[in-house]
Amino acid sequence: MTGPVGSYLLFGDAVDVWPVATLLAKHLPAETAITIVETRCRPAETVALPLESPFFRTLGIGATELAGAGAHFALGHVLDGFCGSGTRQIAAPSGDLPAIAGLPLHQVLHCVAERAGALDRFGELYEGFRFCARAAAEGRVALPEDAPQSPLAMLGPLVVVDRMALAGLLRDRFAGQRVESFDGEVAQLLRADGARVKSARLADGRLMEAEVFIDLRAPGGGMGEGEQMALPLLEALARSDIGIAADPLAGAMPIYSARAGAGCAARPHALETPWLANLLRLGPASAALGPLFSADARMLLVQVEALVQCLPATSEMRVESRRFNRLHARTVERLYELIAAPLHLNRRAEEPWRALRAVEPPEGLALRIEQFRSRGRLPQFDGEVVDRQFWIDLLIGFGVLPARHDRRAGAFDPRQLDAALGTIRGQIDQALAAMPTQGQFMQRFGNA
Amino acid sequence: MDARPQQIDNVVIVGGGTAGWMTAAALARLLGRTGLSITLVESTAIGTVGVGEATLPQIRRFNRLIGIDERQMMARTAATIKLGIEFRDWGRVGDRYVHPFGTYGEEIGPAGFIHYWARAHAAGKAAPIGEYSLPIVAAWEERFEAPREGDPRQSYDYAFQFDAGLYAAWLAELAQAAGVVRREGRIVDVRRAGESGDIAAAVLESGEEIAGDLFIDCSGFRALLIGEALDTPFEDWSRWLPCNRAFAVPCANGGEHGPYTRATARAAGWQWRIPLQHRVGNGLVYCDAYWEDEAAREFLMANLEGEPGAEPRQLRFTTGRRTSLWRGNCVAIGLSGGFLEPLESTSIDLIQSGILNLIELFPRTRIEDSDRSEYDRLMAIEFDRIRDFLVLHYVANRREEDFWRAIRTMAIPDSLAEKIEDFHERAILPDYAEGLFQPVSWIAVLLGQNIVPRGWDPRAGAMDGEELGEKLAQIRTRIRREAAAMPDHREFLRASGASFSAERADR
Repeated sequence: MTGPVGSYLLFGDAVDVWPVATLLAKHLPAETAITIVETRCRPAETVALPLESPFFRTLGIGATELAGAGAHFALGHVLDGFCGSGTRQIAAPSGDLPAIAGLPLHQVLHCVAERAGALDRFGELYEGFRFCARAAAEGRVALPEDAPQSPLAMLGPLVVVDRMALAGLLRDRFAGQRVESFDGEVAQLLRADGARVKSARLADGRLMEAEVFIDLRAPGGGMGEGEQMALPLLEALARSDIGIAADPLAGAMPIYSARAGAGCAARPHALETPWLANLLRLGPASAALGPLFSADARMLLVQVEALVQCLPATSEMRVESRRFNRLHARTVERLYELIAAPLHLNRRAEEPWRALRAVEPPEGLALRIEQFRSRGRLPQFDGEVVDRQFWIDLLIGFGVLPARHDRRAGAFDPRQLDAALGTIRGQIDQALAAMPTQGQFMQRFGNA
Repeated sequence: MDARPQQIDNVVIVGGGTAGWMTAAALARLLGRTGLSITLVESTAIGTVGVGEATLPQIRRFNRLIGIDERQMMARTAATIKLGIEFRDWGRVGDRYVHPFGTYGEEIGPAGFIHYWARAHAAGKAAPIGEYSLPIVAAWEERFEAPREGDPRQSYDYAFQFDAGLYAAWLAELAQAAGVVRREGRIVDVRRAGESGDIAAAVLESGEEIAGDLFIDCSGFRALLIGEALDTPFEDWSRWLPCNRAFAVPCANGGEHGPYTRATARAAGWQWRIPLQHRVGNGLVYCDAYWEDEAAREFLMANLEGEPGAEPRQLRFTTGRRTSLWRGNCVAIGLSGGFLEPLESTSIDLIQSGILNLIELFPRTRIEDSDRSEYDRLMAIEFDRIRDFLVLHYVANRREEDFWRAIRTMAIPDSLAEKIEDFHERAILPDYAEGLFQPVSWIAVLLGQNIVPRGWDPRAGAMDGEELGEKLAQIRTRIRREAAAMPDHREFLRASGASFSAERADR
């Protein structure tokens, strides 16, 4: 058994390096050296991240600090044009809607709609219960903790923030004193034996040594070295002349538009094993999944959390890297399922979009669609990146409507179910009316 | 051809016993008001295996779901409380540890408790892990108190040790009161529907046919429907879990009343001890390649703590599972679908999982392929993860007998080999949400089998060594105090109205 790890070297764009350095600085023993080599080459990029992500929670970063860094807040994403020109779906993070008699609300609603001979209006009826999406559509914002005993508890606010501003906040408030940083660019990794990296040579000739190297550089040529995970839908999208344009600042919510000629900036890829020996590739060095739902930025935050769980006990780090690689693969799978959903379920008539529908979706997405379409049931997997309700709303929004409902729903008195649905709808309407607008919400931070 | 979807309204459960009546009671309770008609066919001439006198805490959820009052259930089934399973002599002769229904320690820093314990243990400054677990300490002191709402004590749960025959009989009463029809008779044939190959009816010895839309095979090891009729392949796991025989016998209690099950490793298998209120259930599980039947029987009878209450009964089994547990219109629940030997009391839990998954996927108008494939997927996850956990008990041993030597050198599933290495090198634990055995269970058995971490989360290194020692000592002291404040287990049974009387059970 070798000794404890004494030094980490991180290198890449500032927007990617600082989130990793910050969490390492919080968790590693004080005697462990953390050095970063940062470049500032990426254009400004605004992303939408879950405010309640473990990353922000671990660091104790709340809405106030983020607002101070220029962030604003939204309750959902707009998917523009995926179901045809001019269509808009709101995908809003949401906790579970209240269960009725132990069953998910949509199951009960389906049962009630069927009994009333109104199954064709199921999607429309369901829309009224989508508290978070309705709040988002009305341009309202609040935090779950504002009224935890009310429907507000379901909200999953997003922080819409410029990545450079976030990096600055992390550097200035959390990691600056603990981390030694250099401007520069790593030009070459020098290996001692086999895969093990001994030092990094910078473009200006400086040589930097460490025991763990964390590479956050976007790979030249589009893909990092090593076995790649299959991302057929993203690859098909990249090959086509259609794409997704992200505009996080367009309005009250980030907008992702399906359109022609909006190709992805980076070629989609995902390494199967980003951690080999003492070299760990994170963020753009490990995968590029595209702009939808700010997948790449979200992936980095999840990766950092995973890294903290796998901090190497010694410089051997074999089991740690194996566990991390498994967690990474799982995260990519979950994110890929999420961003593949609007692509696979698109309803546009143009040939490239029809061709996209014919591409095999990821297994997890296919199973979710099959089960939901069959009986309104949503299978869940380890390492989910969004809540169950988000999936349910997304599938219904894209026309995946259950053919059947849970048989248990049929056991209840229809009048009682009607009454229960009416009560919930009333509570939602009431909470919605009382919610602040985005402008009013921002006033609490003094920079509306 | 009539293309109208067929309404699934008639369910036929083949076989009584624990699996059959648990299934019947749950379906009646949760789906009975949806127009479901449930018939259970059993024959008093055919004995039941009566597996799983010991349960896991998940049984409490099942009981709640079907509206069972816990105390009443205990009184009716001679149940005692179970806070965990004690393993004796498994790693080496003389070893003793408990797999608790609770946790270890408490949050004392950013890393998990196990990492702090591993660090202190390596420095010779930690007590055995069991001393940081309230249910373990309480179990060894023969004490119990139910956890309370908002309990400030270390969290824990409990299960029951009960007479499975009485449990099944009571569920039979409840199920029949809820509308389940019991039919007496031995099934001699199965009539298949011509085109689909589905089961159309079970044919009784009398010639009568019991027709149904959905058949649930609870016929035990015989697997009358899923095996004999539908010929569903069985995946044999005896290369990993080679024990294939058991003798079971009740005896009088010799004086120990601790709220836990005991599993003691023996020369070519292991012996169980399950204390109920009125007797102790015993059994010897063994591998026939290493232990002759008669010798095993004699060994069991010579190692009972009290007067035997019956002649020992032999069970023969092959560990493994059917490759599909839902074929056509037949679902296998219980031993007909698979068996992973009695270690860790998983039999009743697998029955429960089978029932709950079936209810979630219960068809209304017709059975879809997606119902079947999803059921199989969910049950495969359950079986596979339990398998790895059970194999762990065997492979990590240092015993000298031929059986144990052979078993520790056998090839094990890669998934398990990885888990062992992860824990040994850096106290990394399995990370999955679904599955019966979660990290605490793995800690218990890995450490119990002498797989001790030699590395840990570096965050645990940030705490001053003396401070860590003090925190560990405080936790231990508090747990000892809290366990000592609990009532005696038997006193709890009396005071809570859970005492068993044979007369009540006979009603």
